[in-house]
Formats: sequence, structure tokens, C-alpha cells
Amino acid sequence: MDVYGKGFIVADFFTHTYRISARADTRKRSLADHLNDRLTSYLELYDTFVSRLHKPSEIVASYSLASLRKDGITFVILATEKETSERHTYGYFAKQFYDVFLTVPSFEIKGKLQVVGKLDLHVLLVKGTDTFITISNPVASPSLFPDITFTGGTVLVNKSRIELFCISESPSP
Amino acid sequence: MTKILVVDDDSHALRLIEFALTKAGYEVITATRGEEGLQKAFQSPPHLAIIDLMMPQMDGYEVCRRLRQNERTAEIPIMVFTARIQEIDRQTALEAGANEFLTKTATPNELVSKVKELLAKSAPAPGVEVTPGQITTLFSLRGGAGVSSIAVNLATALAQQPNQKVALLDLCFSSSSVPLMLNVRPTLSLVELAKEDTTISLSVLEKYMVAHPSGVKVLPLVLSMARVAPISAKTVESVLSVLKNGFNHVIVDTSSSLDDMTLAALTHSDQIILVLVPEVVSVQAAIVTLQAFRSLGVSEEAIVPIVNRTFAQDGLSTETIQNALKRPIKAMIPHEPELLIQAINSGTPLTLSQPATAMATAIRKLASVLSPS
Repeated sequence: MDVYGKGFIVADFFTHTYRISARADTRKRSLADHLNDRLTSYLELYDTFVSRLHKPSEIVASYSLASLRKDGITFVILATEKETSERHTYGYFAKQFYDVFLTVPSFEIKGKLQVVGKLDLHVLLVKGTDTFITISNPVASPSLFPDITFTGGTVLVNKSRIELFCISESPSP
Repeated sequence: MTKILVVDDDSHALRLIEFALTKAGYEVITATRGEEGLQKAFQSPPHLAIIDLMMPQMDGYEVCRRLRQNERTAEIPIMVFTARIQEIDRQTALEAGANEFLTKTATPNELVSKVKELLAKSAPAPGVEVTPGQITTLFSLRGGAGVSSIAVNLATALAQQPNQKVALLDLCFSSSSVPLMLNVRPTLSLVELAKEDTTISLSVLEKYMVAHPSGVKVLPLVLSMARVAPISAKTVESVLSVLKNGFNHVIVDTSSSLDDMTLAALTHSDQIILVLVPEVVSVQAAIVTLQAFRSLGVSEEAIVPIVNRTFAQDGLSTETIQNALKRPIKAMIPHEPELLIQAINSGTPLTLSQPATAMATAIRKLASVLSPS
């Protein structure tokens, strides 16, 4: 798997039953930008390796080219924070991190949500135009196999897949 | 020149890794498919292999497994270098036989320093000759002769000698006291190893061994009697042949019966220390043992009879024992029961806790017979 090629990002894409490790061509944009781009429904993947959720390290299929339906993605784990969108990271408002816990089909995810300015869940989850929200320092566990954990720098969670969204009352120190 | 095999299906990554390693002074052999990598490794085993996990047809886990299964490549240090970053991937790679797991978030410099680290870890320290080692089995057909105590003290005495790697193999189900005498807490044993369907290599054995501060590495037989399971002679033979190639000395503690495990150890030993105590039944058992050794084809020169004076008075004289055995006694271990019990209870062998005592001196002398240097 090439992680050095320009414009490519290697990530773990999770549906509610599969782990798909693949390279996405982001054309020098961030993966979050691509996922939130409403003009395309599919994500083109290269060097795709598929594992079933109950044995996530066992590769059951591999193809050099694949297409993944964006609304079929539950979440995407990226190795570092750099690979997500940075367009909300500037401004005159203070940036604060809140501990979050959310459930999505087959998974529970813990992490830190970066909020710029005042926390407004309605804006974040309903009014906001982004399909995927970014959570840092994530720990995702399959609900049926809680001993297995997936970690990374960032997770991009499909908002339409969120069943329960819990957030700490005050920002974490 | 140190040869490194790099297996990665991505030509761009392969070129970058090759460039970084060549610049660091290594000879690099590349392969873009798992099968191709295995073929190259079997033809001419490299000093180290760097394997990608996500490769079509044969993934990196399988490449690791096959490298470990082949006799020629079983001991090669393997580094998995992958874009898969999860703990479960690391665990699976280590289970498949990898020694190191590095994610592709690492820079080329980090990769090179990890390669250096792994090569340094796998290479013997300068001046240490690790092959071929000597297998020394301690045996007494009469129980209670103090075989385990002598084995433990002998192993630690040998480990005190410069540049000596010593393994202590416990083959005694009835006492299985070696870990206790050394105060080590193993988490795995030979019984667990025998249950695994795996090729026995030094890296596999290292996982089942526990290190004592003296440098002795102990391979216990069983963790608890609730877990007892039969161990075949073939397993013992495999373990001994691997240990022989990784250690200067392999000391084997046996039970007082000629069971399959003991017979396998005795027939594969370079030296057999026949332990007897100065009493008639023990001497008679030693005579019977010597007859058994003859019928097993054990070389006369390999047998080292020693007397362990486990009681203070009224024992048979050395001369009487020598006459009965028709061979000289090579060492006499003096009677020091209080010190020995103290050493056993504290979990520190006498050769370490009380090195000036007569017993420790006698065992060191015996060690110097086994390792004249």
C-alpha cells in the first residue's frame, strides 16, 4: 500500500459489517472534503483489502480498484489528524474539545469533538451541511467484539448513521 | 554486506524503502508479490525481511507464517511495514511470526533505525559464539538425589562465565520445581508449546521461555498440574536441536524414570550427568542406568557420574562407589542442607546467593568441567 504517493490517503473505511483498508485519491484535497462533496455519491478506492468485522485482521478479498458508496460508510479512521479538513480550525472563536460517545450500527465510538465557539448540537447534527463529522483521538469498538479496538488520529463519522450522540457538559481540559 | 529482503506490492513504496536502505549501506532485494518474496528468501536467506501486509494473492501474514515454517528462514528477523495501523493488525502480525511491527506513518529514517535495532537484537553480541551448543542432561534413576537443585545451580554457574548463553529445560513432571527454585513466573510452558501446531524455532521458543536475572533462560515443563498433557519425544528432540543452535549450554533437568521425554533428552545429549547419593540403592540404580545407557548406545565418554552428599554421615565412600561403578566420580557435591534449603526458599541459587560456600564452589568446578574455557 502506497502512503507516499501524492494525493492519496490510506484509510480504514468501516461499514456496519466490513473493514475496508484502501487508498483514496483525494486529488490534494482532504478526505473529509471528498466525503462531504454532495456532487458525488461514490468514492473511488485503489488497492482495496476487505476484512470481515469479527476477524478484522484477516484479509478475505483484495482488488486493485473499487468504488464505495459514501452513504454506505459508517465511519473512516485516519492515521493522523492532518488528513481531515482544516477549514473549521481558524477563526476568532476559541476552540474547545468535548468528550463524546456515539453509537453507530455495530460500533460504539469514543473521542474528542472540536467545537469552535459555542457548542450547538442542533447546528452540528442537523443544520450543518457536512455529511461527515470529525472526531479526534477516536477509539471505536465493534459492539459484539468490545475487546477489539480501532484507533487513529481522526475518525470521520457519517452523521446519518449516528444512533446515539453523547457529549460531556463542559469542555475537556 | 547485510542483505535485506523487502516485499511490497506497491512499486513506489518499494523504491522509497530500497533507496533509504541502500543509502544506509544495506544490500536490498525486492519482491512485489508474496510468492516471489518467499522464493527469493528460500533461495538465499536474507539477514532481515521487511514485509508489507496488504498484498494481493498472498498477504503479509501468510508470508511471515511461511518464512517461519521453512527451516532456512525460520530464524530471520521479520519487520512488518504496513499502512494498517490497528492494534489487532500488530497482534496478528506478531502471532504470524513477525518480530517488529512498524506503520507506514514512519519516516524513512525511522524505518532505517528500526532495521538497525532489529538486526542488533537478532545478532549475537560480539565475541559470543552461540553455535553449536552443548546439551547436558542431569539424571538419576533414584528419586530425591537433588537433580533439580544441581541443574539450577549448574545453569546459573555456567551463565556467570563470560559470553555464555544458557538455557535450562525442565523435563520433570513430578517436581517441576525449576521456576520455583529460580523465583521466576512463567506464563507459558512446554505443554502449551506442544499443543500448538507450530514449527519450533528459536524465536518461537523465546516466547515460551522466561529469563532469570542471571541470564539463564528457563523453559518450564508445565505451569500447573491441572494443565498436564503428554509431550512426545519428537517435541523434546525438536526443542533440544533448536536450543543447541541458540545457546552455548542447554541444561536439562529430568525425572527419575526413563520415560519418552527423558530418553529423548538422554540420547540427544552431549553429556549426561549421572547423579547419585552415597547409599546402596542409589549406587545400584546408577549401575542399572549405566547398563541402560549402554543399550541405548550412549557414548561412555558422555557420562559424568557425580555424587551429591545429601546426608551428613554414614554414606558410602567415594572409593566404594567408584569400584561399584567401575568408573571415576567426576565431582563431589558437599552436604550443606541448611544453605541449600535457604537458597530454595529464597528462590536464589546457592551459586549466586552464597558463591563462597563449598557446594557452590563444587558446582562451579563442575561447570568448568563442562565449559573448560
